Amino acid sequence: MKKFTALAVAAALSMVGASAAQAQEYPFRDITNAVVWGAGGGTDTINRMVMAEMEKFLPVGISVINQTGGVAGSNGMIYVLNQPDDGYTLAGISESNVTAAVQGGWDKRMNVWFPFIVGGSPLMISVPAGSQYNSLEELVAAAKAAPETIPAAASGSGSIHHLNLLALENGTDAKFRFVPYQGSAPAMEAAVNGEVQLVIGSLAEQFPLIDGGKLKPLAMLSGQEASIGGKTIPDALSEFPSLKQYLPLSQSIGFAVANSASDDVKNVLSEAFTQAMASDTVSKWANDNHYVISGQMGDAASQTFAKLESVFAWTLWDLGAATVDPETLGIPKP
Amino acid sequence: MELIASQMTGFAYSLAQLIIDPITYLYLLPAVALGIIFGALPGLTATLAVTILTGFFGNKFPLEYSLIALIGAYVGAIYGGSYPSILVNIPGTAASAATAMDGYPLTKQGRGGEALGLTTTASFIGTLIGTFCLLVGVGLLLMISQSIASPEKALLALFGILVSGTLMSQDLVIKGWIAGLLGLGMAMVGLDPLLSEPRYTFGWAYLLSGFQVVPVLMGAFAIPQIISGLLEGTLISKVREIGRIIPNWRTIGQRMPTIARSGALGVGIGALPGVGEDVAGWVSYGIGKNLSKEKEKFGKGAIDGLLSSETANNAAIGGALIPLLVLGIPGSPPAAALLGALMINNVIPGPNIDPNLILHIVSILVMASATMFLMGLFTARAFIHVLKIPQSIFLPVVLALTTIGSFSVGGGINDLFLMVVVGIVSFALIEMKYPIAPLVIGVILGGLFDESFRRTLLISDGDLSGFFTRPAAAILLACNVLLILSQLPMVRQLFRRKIPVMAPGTGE
Amino acid sequence: MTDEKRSLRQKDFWAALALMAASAGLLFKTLEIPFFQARAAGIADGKWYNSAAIVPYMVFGLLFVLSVTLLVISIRGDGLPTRADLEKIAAQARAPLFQKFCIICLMLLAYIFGLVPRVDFTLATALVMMALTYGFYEGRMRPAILSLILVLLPSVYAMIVHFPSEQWAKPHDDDIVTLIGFVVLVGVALVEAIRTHGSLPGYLRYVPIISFFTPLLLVIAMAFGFHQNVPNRTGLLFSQIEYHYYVTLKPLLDGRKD
Repeated sequence: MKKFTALAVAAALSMVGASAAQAQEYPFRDITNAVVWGAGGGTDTINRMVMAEMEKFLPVGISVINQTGGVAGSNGMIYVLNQPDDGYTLAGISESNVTAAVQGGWDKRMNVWFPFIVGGSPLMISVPAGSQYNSLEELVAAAKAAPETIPAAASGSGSIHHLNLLALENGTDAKFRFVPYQGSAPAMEAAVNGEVQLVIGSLAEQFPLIDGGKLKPLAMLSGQEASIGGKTIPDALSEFPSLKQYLPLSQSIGFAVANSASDDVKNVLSEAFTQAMASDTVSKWANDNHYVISGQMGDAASQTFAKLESVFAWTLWDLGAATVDPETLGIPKP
Repeated sequence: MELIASQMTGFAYSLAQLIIDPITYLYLLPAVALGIIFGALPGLTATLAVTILTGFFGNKFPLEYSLIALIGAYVGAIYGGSYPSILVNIPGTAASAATAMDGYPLTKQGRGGEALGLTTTASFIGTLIGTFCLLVGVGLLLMISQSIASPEKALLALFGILVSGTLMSQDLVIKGWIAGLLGLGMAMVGLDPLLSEPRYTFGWAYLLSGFQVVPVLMGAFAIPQIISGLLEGTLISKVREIGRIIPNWRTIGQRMPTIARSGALGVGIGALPGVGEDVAGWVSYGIGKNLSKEKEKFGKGAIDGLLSSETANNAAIGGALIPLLVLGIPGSPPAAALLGALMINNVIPGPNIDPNLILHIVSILVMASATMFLMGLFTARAFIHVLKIPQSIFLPVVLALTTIGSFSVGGGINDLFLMVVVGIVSFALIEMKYPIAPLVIGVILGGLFDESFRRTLLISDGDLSGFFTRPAAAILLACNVLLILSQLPMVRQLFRRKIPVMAPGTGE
Repeated sequence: MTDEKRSLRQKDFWAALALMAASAGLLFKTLEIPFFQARAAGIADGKWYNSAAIVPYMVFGLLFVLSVTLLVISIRGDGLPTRADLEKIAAQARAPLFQKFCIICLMLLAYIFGLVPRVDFTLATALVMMALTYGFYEGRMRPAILSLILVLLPSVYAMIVHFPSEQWAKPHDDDIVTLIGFVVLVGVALVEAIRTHGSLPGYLRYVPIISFFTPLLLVIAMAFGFHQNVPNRTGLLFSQIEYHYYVTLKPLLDGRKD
């Protein structure tokens, strides 16, 4: 027994010695991508898809895990930032993470990241299949006639869907009764069973229900028309030009590495990301799943996130839904 | 009838697929074996087996396969609990506590092998009864579940917590309710689901997302067992000679009425929210004793007693899955662990659940019970050796398993902090005879109650009438009120009647 | 009224007081959540009925009522502690069972809050598994106390030196302290057991091996078999295992494939 213990100690100590000789080119071991949102959601799905593609252009594998909890994914972001900034731990993030600071989840801004944006699914507004409203104009007119009575579903306060609803209200002077749900799936379920009269969500989320005839699409909020099954869904921004000063406000799903990582790491990842985004697999996936590809990275992506951060943070603060003043965090007004 | 026929064909197809896929066995055989070991080791429960496996599989494996492992372990553990009950008079899990009443006397008479053969067969038949009811019950419930909106959801959640609190109490009913309320209170922690208002986070940002199911389950079901097992010290069981393990088909044939009745009872009790295998075993045993012609034999090695509890606790598995799959309300603590696994894989059980998933689960149950049956008959001797491992050796191993399993499911290190605090509080509650299942059900359903209750008011402008003008809501409200009234002392005096006294479960 | 029942009612008495205090405290805490002027957060108007505080008021209010009821039940059931009972409680607090309970709790807390976040998983778990088995196998008090000391020393060291979460992944001095703690504990266990029993008890022959290899195998299976995240990837042992897995082992396996 004692012999064994001595052996184990010796083995352990020899390993300590070996750690000095660990200079290897990045990446020599598998990379871990910690998605800060739950499995099966948009951010998780996109990250799994893109990581599988990036693996083809890297000498190592990428393992995707989920690190959820906190507010706006703060638990996962803190976890990744606490890992060494050697590029072996990435964070799978989305536009919804930008509110983590004003909601009290952490005390950092999005500029701690070096982001890569894969894209997002265009947002839209739909009503139950049997609804009396057949166009956005009819709906807006009804809401103006009876302000704050038409229940409108969107996922939680401060989500991109909620902010789009607010933008719609601001741009059309209509007032709805916002009913928050925990995510898009229950929000759509509520629209289908008639608990609410309209729902804001992404094309990717709503497509199966529209295709199945359970929801009726009214308008796109992304600034571009779309077509489902040969039917064109009009663009809200051209119907109501006043919306243009608030919209589009679109999803930005992707991943990030700590900004303090070395240039070497950033270059390797950028290279693999660019190649992956140019691949047929990604464009086919985006097409099949109703996503629009962005491909922004580095400075350009940082600017996108900075803009989102300022819009989200200040909107939430003005609504009284934020706990930390964006001023104290140094977030500029939009 | 049409429903049954269509469910049956779908099920046959799904079962055939499962049988011809060789990978099935890769997951199924180790999982059932692990389940039986967990069941057989006193202190380790079915809930723990399913929760730990949830941590290991996470969402890294296709759900169709990880479900094979989880359900296999569930079935195995409920069955495995009968080994120490029969052989050494220590129930392996609370579900098998009633089995010891007649099983151990049989062992003392040198008929241990016969008893094991009978319980193995009874467990097998029980699981199949439960599975059949699951297949039919889910179909029926799905048809009416479309009318479930916010008011019904709120009332269902409340009913789940109340039923669990009422029936799981060993001591005073009020303790079950307190446990349920504590769970509800824990569910209030974090950002509220409607207004994103932070509640009771005490400055810990991780808590903004609230109490997660898996760390709470790990804490409530693993840590107290580790503490109390270590306090007891080393128990090494002496296993007697048992003779050959063979199913006595003639006896089984003669006792078919007992088996059918116990199976039906097990399904019914299993289907009640948060009331699972352990209560099913006791209640079925109590009723079996009351109805039996040979009452005096009970407690001295009555075959009927043995069959009553072992059929019912395995039948409860299928029952427990009915509300889980259709309403998202777990019917037993291990089903709560399954809910955690489904949620990690982004499958939200409810009216819109994929019907093929249900057929797949039914098929797994059939396969798992068959595997359990064969293992029970041919490899039981190997499992009996497990009983010789002292608990102060295997409990620290369980601590390591729990820690690493809990770490991987989502919240990382913060989940572990939560787990250990919940665990120590749960130990204190269990010591004072509070049932722990209602607390877990409260944590799971509390958020749903809060959210749907307030959403109902938000949509109706603060008008409470939504809770009694909708027919489904009115029925549920009546159930809730009746359940509370039935437990109030004044009402009980009005309806004072002789109610058969049954020993309740020990709150696994 | 049996003795067991009476002692249960006594426990209920104290539990009821604790629950009353807790629910009152939480009700007070609920005052912090806006009620009559609920923050709107984009919902048209913040009314009391959609306030985040309404259900908490219901829950904790009801909990308070139920704990008062429990108090009444316990007093009716003769649970009100007499002077003699108080002395009995004090005696129980000094009894070995309660002390052992405290020791287990302290070990668990030290393990989860001190070691697991900061120290290599294998080393931390080996130390605690060894401590729990050795400390409680025979049910004697001395092993339990020795084990507790040797678990607390490294955990307290790790907590003091690397408290903030930014430092969890960093240097390995606490890993080495834990390793020393494990080795010392094994040594102490062997010596103490031999001195007590005259010879080495059977279980101690294999417990150190189980304690070290269970977490080692678990962490390897979890990381490379199940592809899950594991605690402290930068830990003393795990970082080496990971390094050699990719740099030494993987090329060997891949080389065979080509």
